[in-house]
Amino acid sequence: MDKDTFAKLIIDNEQQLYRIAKSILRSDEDCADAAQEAVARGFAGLHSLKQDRYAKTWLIRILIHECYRVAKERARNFPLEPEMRQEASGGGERYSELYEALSCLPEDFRVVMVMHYLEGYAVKEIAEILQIPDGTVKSRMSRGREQLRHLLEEGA
Amino acid sequence: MKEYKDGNWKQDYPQMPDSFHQALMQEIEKQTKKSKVTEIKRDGRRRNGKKRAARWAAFAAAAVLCTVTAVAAARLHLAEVFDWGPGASKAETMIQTEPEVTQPETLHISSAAAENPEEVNARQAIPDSAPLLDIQETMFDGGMLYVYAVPTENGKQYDLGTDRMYVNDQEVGPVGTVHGYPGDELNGKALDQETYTFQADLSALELTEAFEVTLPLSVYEKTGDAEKALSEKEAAVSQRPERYQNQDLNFTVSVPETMDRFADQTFVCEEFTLEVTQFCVMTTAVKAVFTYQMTEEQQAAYQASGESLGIPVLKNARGEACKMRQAQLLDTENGVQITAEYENNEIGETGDTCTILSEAYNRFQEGRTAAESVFELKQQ
Repeated sequence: MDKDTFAKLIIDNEQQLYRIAKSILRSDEDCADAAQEAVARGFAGLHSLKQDRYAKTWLIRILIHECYRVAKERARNFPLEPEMRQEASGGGERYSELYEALSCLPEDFRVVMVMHYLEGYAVKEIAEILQIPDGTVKSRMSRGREQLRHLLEEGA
Repeated sequence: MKEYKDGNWKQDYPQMPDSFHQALMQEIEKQTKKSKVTEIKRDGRRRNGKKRAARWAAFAAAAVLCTVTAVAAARLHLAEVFDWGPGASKAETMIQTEPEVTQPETLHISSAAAENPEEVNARQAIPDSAPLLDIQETMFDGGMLYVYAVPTENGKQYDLGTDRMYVNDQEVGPVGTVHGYPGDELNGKALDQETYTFQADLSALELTEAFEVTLPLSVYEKTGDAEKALSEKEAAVSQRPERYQNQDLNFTVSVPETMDRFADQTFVCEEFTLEVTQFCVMTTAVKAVFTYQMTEEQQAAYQASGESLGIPVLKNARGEACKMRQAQLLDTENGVQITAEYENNEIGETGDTCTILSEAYNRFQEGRTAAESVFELKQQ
């Protein structure tokens, strides 16, 4: 895949990239940081991409990895109190009840839930992107749904 | 409970801010080195987002002209010091930087140390217990773990090493440790500072989720170029460097790629039966165990031939050989077992085939191909 085609693929899917990054990172600035790094790594490794049809899932995998890296850096640098961490990481924004409830789920659950319910990926596709077994995807979705339902009921 | 259908999810989920779009555009421009930037067509809705942080330049909504200066990104250290072969580019994207490092309250006792409790208990503690290593990079490709570290100011006072580690509290080894000094060459690159690299084969653990690593550092008095005995035999006539209490460092490694383990297969030919087991494909390596078994008649013929079975040649679906890195040969009761590691030269898709050339060598003649086994990769 040539660079121009890859660039177009990134722009065509920028909203999806944002939503997936947002499922891991609360701050828009952190999302942009992680996405920029992922794009850079994508271009750097473009020549190793075996088949063009895998480019999008490959990029998403890199993005998720970068988001986890940024999340780990934030956790190391921010105070431990959840309220202070939320404030420092861009928690001043007001979000919907759905997003706030999603934010309470473990990271692993959030990513799977967003990829399935928001982005429409099938279990098998999510398993391939995250390089985890189908069963693990199903388990995280099931537990994520249960927890999300409980959180939304509490807030209703 | 509120029912969230597809439409509601998209409506209630945060919308992409313009700042995110601009950040992507900036990086794309940098990577494609375009001299003229045209806003790529997007939908007309304006995004409400936070103002851009001052460190990024602002872009107008209309087409702009700008000159992009190409900035060569510095390569990560692990990619410089390890030769990952054809999988290097992909492996480089999997490097994780600056993991959080903690020190456990209780030191791990290795199986070897447990045999010498008096010697272990006699070691003095180092005066400053702050971490001796700054772990800067890790890379795990589903089977192989690579770690790059530099000594801290505290660590520069000692020589450090380890020959095993703990993964989720399970002892694994051996661990390949290389302690490099400024000026030393690793993979053709001269080091500019003191470094430690560690490499461990964790393929037997088949790890699929993030795991915790404990690196038990052996701490020795710094000897530099001074000749100091490292064995008991030499210690009889020379001074051994003082050894201090170990320091354990904990960090977590994530699993961006899992290893692919393919089904075992057996091939029968005139001279032997070949079992190919534990065929594991990782980004940086392919590993397998080749067990050659012979009947009594085949053994007699083998010994009479004066030949020795060599390390099999592994070829990908296009017939290109995978460079062999290392191997161990073990004579068994009725044959030979060879454990070999190769570079991953594009091997790994289910349904792919690869070829194993079993080679035999005679001290009077050049090697010959004893058997050519076509191996189709099947999920285990």
